[in-house]
Amino acid sequence: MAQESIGELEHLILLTILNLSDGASAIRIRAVLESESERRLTRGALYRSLDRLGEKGLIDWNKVEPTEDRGGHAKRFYLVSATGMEVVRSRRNTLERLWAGAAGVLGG
Amino acid sequence: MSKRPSRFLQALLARAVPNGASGLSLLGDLLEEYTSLRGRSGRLVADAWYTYQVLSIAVPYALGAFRRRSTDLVAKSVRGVGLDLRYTYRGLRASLGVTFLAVVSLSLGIGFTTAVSTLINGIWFAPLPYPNAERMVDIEDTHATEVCNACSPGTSYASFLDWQRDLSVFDGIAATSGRMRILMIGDRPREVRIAAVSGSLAGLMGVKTRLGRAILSEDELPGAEPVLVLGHGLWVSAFARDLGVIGQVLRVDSVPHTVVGVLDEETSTLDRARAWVALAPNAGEHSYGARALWVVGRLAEGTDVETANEQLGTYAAARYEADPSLIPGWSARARPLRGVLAEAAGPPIVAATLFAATLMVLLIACTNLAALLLARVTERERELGIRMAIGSSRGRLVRVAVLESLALALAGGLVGMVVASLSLGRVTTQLMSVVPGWMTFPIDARVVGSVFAAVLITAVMCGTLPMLRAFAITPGQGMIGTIAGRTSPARLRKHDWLLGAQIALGVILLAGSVAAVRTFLRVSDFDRLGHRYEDLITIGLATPEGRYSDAASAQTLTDQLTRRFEAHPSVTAAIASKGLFLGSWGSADSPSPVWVAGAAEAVPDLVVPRHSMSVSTGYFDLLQIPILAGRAIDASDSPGGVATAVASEGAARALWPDAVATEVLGRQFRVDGGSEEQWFTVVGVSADVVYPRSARMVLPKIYTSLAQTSPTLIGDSPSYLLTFQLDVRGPLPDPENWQALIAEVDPDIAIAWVTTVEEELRQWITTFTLNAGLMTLLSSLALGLLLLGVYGTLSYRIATMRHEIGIRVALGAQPGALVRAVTGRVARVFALALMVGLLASVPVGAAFRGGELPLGGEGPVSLTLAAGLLLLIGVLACLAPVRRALAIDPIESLKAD
Repeated sequence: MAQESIGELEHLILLTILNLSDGASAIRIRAVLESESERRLTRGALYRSLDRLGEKGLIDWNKVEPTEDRGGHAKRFYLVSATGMEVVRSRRNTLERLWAGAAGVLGG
Repeated sequence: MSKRPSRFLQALLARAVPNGASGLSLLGDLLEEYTSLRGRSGRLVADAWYTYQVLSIAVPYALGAFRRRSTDLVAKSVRGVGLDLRYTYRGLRASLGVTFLAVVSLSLGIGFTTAVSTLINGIWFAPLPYPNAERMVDIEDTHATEVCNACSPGTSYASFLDWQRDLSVFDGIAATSGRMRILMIGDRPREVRIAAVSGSLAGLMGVKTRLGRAILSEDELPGAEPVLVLGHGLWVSAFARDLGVIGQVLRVDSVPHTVVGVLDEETSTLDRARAWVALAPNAGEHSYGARALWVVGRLAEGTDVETANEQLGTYAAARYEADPSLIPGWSARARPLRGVLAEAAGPPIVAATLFAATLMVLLIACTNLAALLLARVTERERELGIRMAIGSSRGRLVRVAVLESLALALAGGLVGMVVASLSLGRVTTQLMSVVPGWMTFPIDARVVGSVFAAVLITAVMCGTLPMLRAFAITPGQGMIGTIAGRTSPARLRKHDWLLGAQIALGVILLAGSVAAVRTFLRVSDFDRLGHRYEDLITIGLATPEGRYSDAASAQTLTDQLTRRFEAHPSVTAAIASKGLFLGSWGSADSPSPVWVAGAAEAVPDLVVPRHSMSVSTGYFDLLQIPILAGRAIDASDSPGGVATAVASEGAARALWPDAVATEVLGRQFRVDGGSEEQWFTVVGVSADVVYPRSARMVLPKIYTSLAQTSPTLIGDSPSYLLTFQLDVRGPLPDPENWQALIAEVDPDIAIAWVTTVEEELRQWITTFTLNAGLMTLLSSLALGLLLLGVYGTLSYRIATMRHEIGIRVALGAQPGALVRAVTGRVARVFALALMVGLLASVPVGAAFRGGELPLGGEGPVSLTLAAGLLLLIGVLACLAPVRRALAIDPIESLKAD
């Protein structure tokens, strides 16, 4: 089966979820991503990307029962699915190969 | 107090984000952050933050959702249209016979209706191809007593100059006068229609030149060098598009003219003139009485015809009052030019007849289409029922029905346009040489639009409305109803009406066309004319202006030419004649009245034998016109002797109403030619000859001796137009031979025409031929459509009667009874419609008989012929369907149900 293609933001979101292994809620994902990548991320863009990743089967989530302060809405904690893991690995391999090839020019 | 953001904003966000995905989680997350922020920074900041978040999240979500929905909708519609088109194609293919009949019927109907309407439009209605043509008017002298029996006498140069100078109602006014003149091209004289035009004409008509210039006002001035402008057609045919023609000097009636221009191809002249010279009247033609010009003008902006007429009337009254030497009673009037040209192009009755016939054909085509589509919908009731039962929406069924009707109408329309342009192309090529320049026949968008609209409305209405009615029944009923092979009486009645309408219209059209053909046959029977017309050649000769204006030189010319012609091996006898136009011909100032000896007054203008002629010896023998009393013109009528004349019976009655034929012998009359007068003595009475364009109308004529009649007696023809009739045996000699033969006598004489007398007569009756031809074409088309209509109706009826026929055959019905069962209803409709059509033809025919041409409703014979022809068509159309009905196998037909 052909691997799902992902964009840069989706790639970063997957990595962030993996980094937040103890509880990757959307709020935390955004906070980490903004601080690590030093870029602003709107909530709309984040949630749409999460939706897309879900549709592609690259993430999954656990729900925490709704609470009153959340207006009765459940909270989600995101996980990278097995397919998502494959995609992330494959992307890393690609990047490593390319980095290796460019090392002579870029140094380090 | 609630620690939540505004309910409205929450609801807005909940509506915008997708439900069930991360949407609900998002709402919760935002609330969580809102609560936290509110604790840290206060309510105001938290609310602002929340509002901003709602907007920045909701708007992109809403836009995305809208984009997705519209993409879905478009894809669905495209899929739906594709499906509809596929159904349409299948539907049309399934009933290939009906599709074919409908397309053929429509294409013929649309094609010929468009072609004939375009011709009618071009001749009678289309705007003239000149700038501001709607303001152009014809201006002419008029006289209260209508001296010329309502004809237009023309206008004098003097009046034209007055109007041009003094009247403010026109912002342009021009004059033209065209006639055949002799143009020397190389060393060959050619008779060419040349118009003498005022310099103002080019501007008025928006003339464009291909080379050089048009005629200008300076060319009109006394002493100006004579100039010639060639029409585009003449430049192409006689000068082979020679660019060096400008500056060449050509003789027009022996007067050298310098070519200064060639008209552009797009310039449409007002008449059939092929070249222009400047209007340069001689002194005599400056009189108010010399009415030989055609004057056209353009109304100033904001002026109407009534105002122009008031000014013309006031101006004429003042002028005639101021000058007592002028004949009183003359005035002037302006009329819209388009109307005048339309009137001149043909009697309105011809346009009305053709237009009515065209409309009838279109009506028949539409009725035919309606019947076919109705039959088709009925046949498909069962299919509709099944489709509805398995869930097809009514919207889709209607869409498909509309598409099918549109497809039929478009296919018929496209083929029809091809038919129209092909037939128009042929007709216009034929007409180009005989129609005046202003008449053009482009396919008019309004004509096409109206024809198309009529067909489209019929197609959509008849293809769709019955289907809407079919929806009133439940799918189950529809299936059961058609499984039984029956159709509703209401629908049958509708069919009967449509068929009846076609037949009734067909009878009217056919009666008109039979009448037109019979009229044509009658006028083309030249035996009724009362003179010989076979094996005769007629040659018209135009002599240079002024060269043969005295009796002696004219007589010498006639003698020399007669001898030359008679020396030709193919010619056994030659006679000469010349028109002698008596009476006023509308110009009260230069009349040629006839005075009977002893009478106090001239012969009244309306009974004077206008079309008289001077003839040479042997005229009556050659043309076999019987002499009833006295003798013919012969060699004893020599110059210098007592001038003699032969009167036709009609002329004798007109001049001496109280005398019988023998009593007029020896009586005398005088022709007053203005500057001279001549007395004639009647020596014979001849039988009457009939006017070629009528069935019975005789032309009263006086025949004077050519040798004795002064060539300038009536002084109206500057060039001496002499006609020879040659008795020819064997094949026709080459026209070039005639030219060489005539050149031996005078190289400047031009042949105006060479043709057989029979051919000349055929040209006289062109209107009848054209009318009969067009009416025959239209009625043949109607008959063809009718054939298709009856065939379609009957086929449909038999298809719906299969079940009944099957039972009848199973019960032992005889073929005769079956045929009666199948055709009975159609035959009754046919008979009734035939009667209605025949009754309607009588008043229609009577209306036509009131017109100038006997065009329609020529009594019981035409009607009977029309009815017989239609019956024949009806029987022919029934043959194939009846054969099919008789071949129905009862077992198969019952099994099929």
